[in-house]
Amino acid sequence: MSGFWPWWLTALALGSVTVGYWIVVRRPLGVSGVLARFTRVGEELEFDRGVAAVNNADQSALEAEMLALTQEAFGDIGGPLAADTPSTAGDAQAALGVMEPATHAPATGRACAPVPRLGAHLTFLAMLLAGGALAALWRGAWGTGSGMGEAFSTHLASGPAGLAVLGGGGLLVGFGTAMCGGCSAGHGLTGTGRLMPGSLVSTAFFFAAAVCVAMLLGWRLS
Amino acid sequence: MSDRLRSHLAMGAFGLALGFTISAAGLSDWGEVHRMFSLGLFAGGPSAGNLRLLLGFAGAVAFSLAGFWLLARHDQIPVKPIRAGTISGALLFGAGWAVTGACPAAALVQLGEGKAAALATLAGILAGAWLHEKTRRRFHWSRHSCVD
Repeated sequence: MSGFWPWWLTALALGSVTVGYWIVVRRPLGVSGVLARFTRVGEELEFDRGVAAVNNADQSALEAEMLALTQEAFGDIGGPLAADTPSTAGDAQAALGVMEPATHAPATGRACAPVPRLGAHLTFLAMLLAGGALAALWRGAWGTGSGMGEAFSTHLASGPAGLAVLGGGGLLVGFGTAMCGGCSAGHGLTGTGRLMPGSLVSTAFFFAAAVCVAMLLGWRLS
Repeated sequence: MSDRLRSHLAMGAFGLALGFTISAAGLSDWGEVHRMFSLGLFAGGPSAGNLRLLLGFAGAVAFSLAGFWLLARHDQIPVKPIRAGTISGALLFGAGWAVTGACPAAALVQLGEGKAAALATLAGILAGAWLHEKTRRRFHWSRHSCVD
């Protein structure tokens, strides 16, 4: 009727992207966090440069320097630590009991990759746009209107007032996703797909809020 | 192939796939999104056609559950705990999604579809994220992660 995909194809495609993204990129899929990076470009570029500097530095020299700085700050903690200096981040966390209690088996499987550089995230956002363009061209809907369509105009507003509504709603989306730490991708798909408590609660509440607002909009017209 | 190029290629491929899917599914169409959230009540009731997107989203979650369990259940994926802003943030986001018809990804997809009005949504999203960053220290809110 509408030319959009049936529910099962939508489910299959969204699910594949969600799981495939983790398998290939080794990061949980998310969009709001990526967008938010571009509101603090200077800080994020500095972060990227810092990561690159640590990666390019001589690791043993870096460890020696960190040990020296630690001893300078906390005094000489004695030989055993230096002798048992953990060789990997995982060992260090295990030794400090940060991630896994000693009773647990050591973590196996894929590790999480570092945050991609800002440039790679820009590519991601640009290609999201390109994907939309391609799908619209494919179903012959590209350029059929610069607005949000008739349903939006009748339920809310058109013209400059419509733009103001979109801007205000966008403000809620940007602030809300930053506050709850994810959006429909990070919480709704990736987080709920892994039964993360924060994501289950977020998804329940953002769906509930959206249902309430949509009901109000529909009821106002009927 | 350099690491940097590989990163661009992987991120680009998934961006394209996600953007195409969101558009083809109708998740970037205001009317479709409104029908999903109003459960089709104002379009003849909750029929299979009216619940298409809702079923699609629920199916995607089920698919992800199965996929993560089968392929990645031993992986070290960062956890997402409940925090101070979880509920209030989610409520704000949900309200904004129902009004604009756009989650953050869909705003970009709409722009790609030639809907220039989505620029207003996108500007609002960026301004909202910026505002949160500016106010969060005053209210002792945390940034949840560097990037989700």
